[in-house]
Amino acid sequence: MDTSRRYRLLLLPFVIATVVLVGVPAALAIGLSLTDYDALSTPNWVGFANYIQLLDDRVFGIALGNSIYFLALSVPLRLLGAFGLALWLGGERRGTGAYRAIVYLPTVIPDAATALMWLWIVNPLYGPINLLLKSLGLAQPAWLADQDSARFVFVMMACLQIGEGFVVALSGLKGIPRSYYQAAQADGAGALSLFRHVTLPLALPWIALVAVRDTIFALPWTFAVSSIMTGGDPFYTTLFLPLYARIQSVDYLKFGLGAAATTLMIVLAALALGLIGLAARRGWYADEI
Amino acid sequence: MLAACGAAPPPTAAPAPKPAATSVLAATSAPAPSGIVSWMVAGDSVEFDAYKRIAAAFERANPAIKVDLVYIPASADYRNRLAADIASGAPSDVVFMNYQRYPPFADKNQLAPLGDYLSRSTMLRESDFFPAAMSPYKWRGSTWCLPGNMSSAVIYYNKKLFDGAKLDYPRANWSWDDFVASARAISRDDPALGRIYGYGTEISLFRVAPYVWSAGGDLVDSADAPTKLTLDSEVAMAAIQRYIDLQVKFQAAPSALAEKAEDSLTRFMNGKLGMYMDSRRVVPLFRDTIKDSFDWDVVALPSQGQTVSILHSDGYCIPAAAKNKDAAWALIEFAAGPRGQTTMTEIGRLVPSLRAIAESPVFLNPTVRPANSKVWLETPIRPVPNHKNWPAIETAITKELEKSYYGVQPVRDAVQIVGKQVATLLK
Amino acid sequence: MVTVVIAAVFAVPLLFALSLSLRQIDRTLPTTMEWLPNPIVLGNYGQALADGNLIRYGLNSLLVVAVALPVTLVVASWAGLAMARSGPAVQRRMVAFCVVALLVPHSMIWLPRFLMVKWAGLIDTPFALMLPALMGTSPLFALLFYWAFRRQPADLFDAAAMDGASAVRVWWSLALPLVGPTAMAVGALTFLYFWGDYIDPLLMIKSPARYTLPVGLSILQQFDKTRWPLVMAAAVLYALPSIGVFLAAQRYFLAGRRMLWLS
Repeated sequence: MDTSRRYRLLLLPFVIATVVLVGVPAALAIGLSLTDYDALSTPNWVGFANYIQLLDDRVFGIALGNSIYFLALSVPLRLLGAFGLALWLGGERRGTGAYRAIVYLPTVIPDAATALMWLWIVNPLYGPINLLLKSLGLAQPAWLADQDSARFVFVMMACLQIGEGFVVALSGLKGIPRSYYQAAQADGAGALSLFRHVTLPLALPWIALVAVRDTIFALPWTFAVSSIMTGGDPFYTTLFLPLYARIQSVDYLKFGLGAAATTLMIVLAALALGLIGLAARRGWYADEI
Repeated sequence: MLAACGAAPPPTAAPAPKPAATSVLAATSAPAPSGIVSWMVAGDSVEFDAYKRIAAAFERANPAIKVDLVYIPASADYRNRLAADIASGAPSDVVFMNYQRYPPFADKNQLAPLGDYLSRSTMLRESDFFPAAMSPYKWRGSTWCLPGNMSSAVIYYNKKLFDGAKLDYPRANWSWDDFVASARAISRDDPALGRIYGYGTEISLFRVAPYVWSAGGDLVDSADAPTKLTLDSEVAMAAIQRYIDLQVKFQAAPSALAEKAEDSLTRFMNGKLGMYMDSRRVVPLFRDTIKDSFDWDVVALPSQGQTVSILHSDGYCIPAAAKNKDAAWALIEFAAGPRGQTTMTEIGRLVPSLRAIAESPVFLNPTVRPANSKVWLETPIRPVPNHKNWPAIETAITKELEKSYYGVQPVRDAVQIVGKQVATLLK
Repeated sequence: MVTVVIAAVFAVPLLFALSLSLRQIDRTLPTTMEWLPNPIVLGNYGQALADGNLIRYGLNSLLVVAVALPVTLVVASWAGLAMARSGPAVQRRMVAFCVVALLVPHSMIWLPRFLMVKWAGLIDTPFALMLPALMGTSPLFALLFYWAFRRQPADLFDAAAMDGASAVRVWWSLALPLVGPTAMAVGALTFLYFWGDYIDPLLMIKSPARYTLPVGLSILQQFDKTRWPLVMAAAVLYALPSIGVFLAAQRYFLAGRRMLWLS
């Protein structure tokens, strides 16, 4: 039988195109990070000089800090939002379908439109959020004009675009057989205990999946929105690694340095993934025993 | 190989235009250029229309050449595209770069030197241009671009707000104290318009540098071969502090929040800002949006010692990888020459770099706003230094100054932090 | 009640934008909370279409989607089917391959990819924007098809193989009809990807006549940033097709007992 070989040809376009469009450029990019490539003259091998220069660069340090801040806040908050909403909207009550659609809605709005809408919404004097706060007699943050709140605007935006995680959470929670709950209830477990001993451990694989997905896409997501909304201002507080890499590459023609910054960004994401893996593994073991 | 590769101090500064008129006949031997020449332009639709008119006139004068206009409206996109095009080896034949931004490309031999073309030209001589516009495009012994304009920073002011505050209009040679007093007198809360500020602008090195010079300070230790930033001199820091006081101490300029909510350019157009600092570039926009809702004019920058302003200039350049260099030069002769500059001056966009156009009624016409255009020709102008890392240096300084301007960081800290950062960029 | 608040939080940004887009453009902006402008005007939409040249850009965007969508569905479903019909070792390796490819962020590869596109002579053509379709747009889409096909009973395919049907024939007449919901969902996601792509057109398209909508929108914003209602009208217009496609396809995302990705 050679049925699998017969199908293998169907795999070719995908594999070839992925290697050409992702694999080759990625390898080139890592290679570039070890050169002084400026796109204008032949690259020279410089070893780890770009990485050393990055560690020396105050602005890179700021961008790295911003990126860690964004990862550390947005990933857990998005996770909490996705699973919390899935728990809340998971039932088959009437109208939940419409509510689920509304939760998903911000996720489908294109980045460029999202960025422009938020630029208006958080306008510190005329934007609706601050006018609403003003009418309620509350303090009004300066949002993108302020070095403390500017980064948080991006966290807020990210927290409203949780449609994909929400869907995964819905299906993950739905996959938990009802008999488990019934058994636990028969043992006299309360709602909190049900959540702690049934929902959480059984949903853990899905939680890990969403966490992994968010960790990978969090930083690349910032690129379009931060370049449209702030360009890294004020005072570099919304400068995340992808924009930093782009500025070094395109504005200053230091493609080697930009490639090194991008490589470090992937290392950062990989470290975060390692943390998630550790946490998930501990969770599994702790609950299986 | 070429002198451009050496690290020796480049012989750039001396502007001394050489007499170029002697070689008028040399050009006759070359065949007339032909084919397609691509030209990448930026700006709003009014500017784009003007470029289209120039291209059409050029094609009529040179039937063998067809112009392919590539239009990238926003200047940030324009720069990204230009870098990407040059990196990929397929740039347009004629491109714009301002004088701060061409050295990184010239440093990598990505621009075609224009000196020989200019000395052979029958249409243009170097002496037709103002030396102050021409000299920043000379670096390491070559001429890299032709100046398309010679703008500089001035103060735009709203006469209605001056009248309302019972102030005299500012005059040339006004002092910093006059300026601060006017800005403070204009600042007030208006029941209909909200807060009115006396003065505002984006914060950047380009807005602060002229006052550092005016007070007797400087940006770097040597214009030709800078090795360190000198903003940490007491004179320079005092000048910067005076500038920052407008916002931090007197609140006569928008705070970070107010600027974010509505930038100074918009505030000025909406009649809510007394004075606004910018180059000539905003004139077409002001004519178009302000119309007759209030009268406005321009005046030289106030003086902290001597009156001086900062050069804003875009050059016409030919990338080394351009396919049709001869046709590109022909287009530059035309567009940077009297025909092109006249068209661009008519829409209000330019301070001409050609002496003859600048001193003609096309530019000085006092019946269209701003009436006082001669201020651009009367004020001494200085450029920032040529350096291959200048764009990065400028950004670094701007970011730290911004922090001080909005009261987050003392000037002394700002210049120290950025001094360290710039030291590595100057190496 | 809580549900309503949640819904409000998610819907309100779009509604704020919508509300401002109906505001008359003058020299002022609201200084007190204004849920709906007074008077309500629709003129900003017409003006955004005219000033911003949005129809032209919209057609360019549509052209990209129209080609990229079917190509994506073919490539991704072929790959998914082939993976599902492979031995366990190949399956494991292919899933790992997809995950690794997913890990590579776009910001890492745009420059080398730009250079490759340039060598291929595709700069400033819509093909440059369609290229990702050749790899099924995202490795995730191949995985989605893989998971969908893996759920189908193996005997069906074995029977077809016995009949000597070619792989493409099995794919078209047997496999694809079985995974309609997945195809719909991948189709919708593909639309959202190409319609929303901001970075590639910025880099690869030179001629204004070939700009796609997001680039046109950012140009409009740069020149009309003081006219917020106009910018919001353009942003809403640009978002509408995405919202429409999502609403049409939402039951494949949200409803069903078995969610498409995992069950």
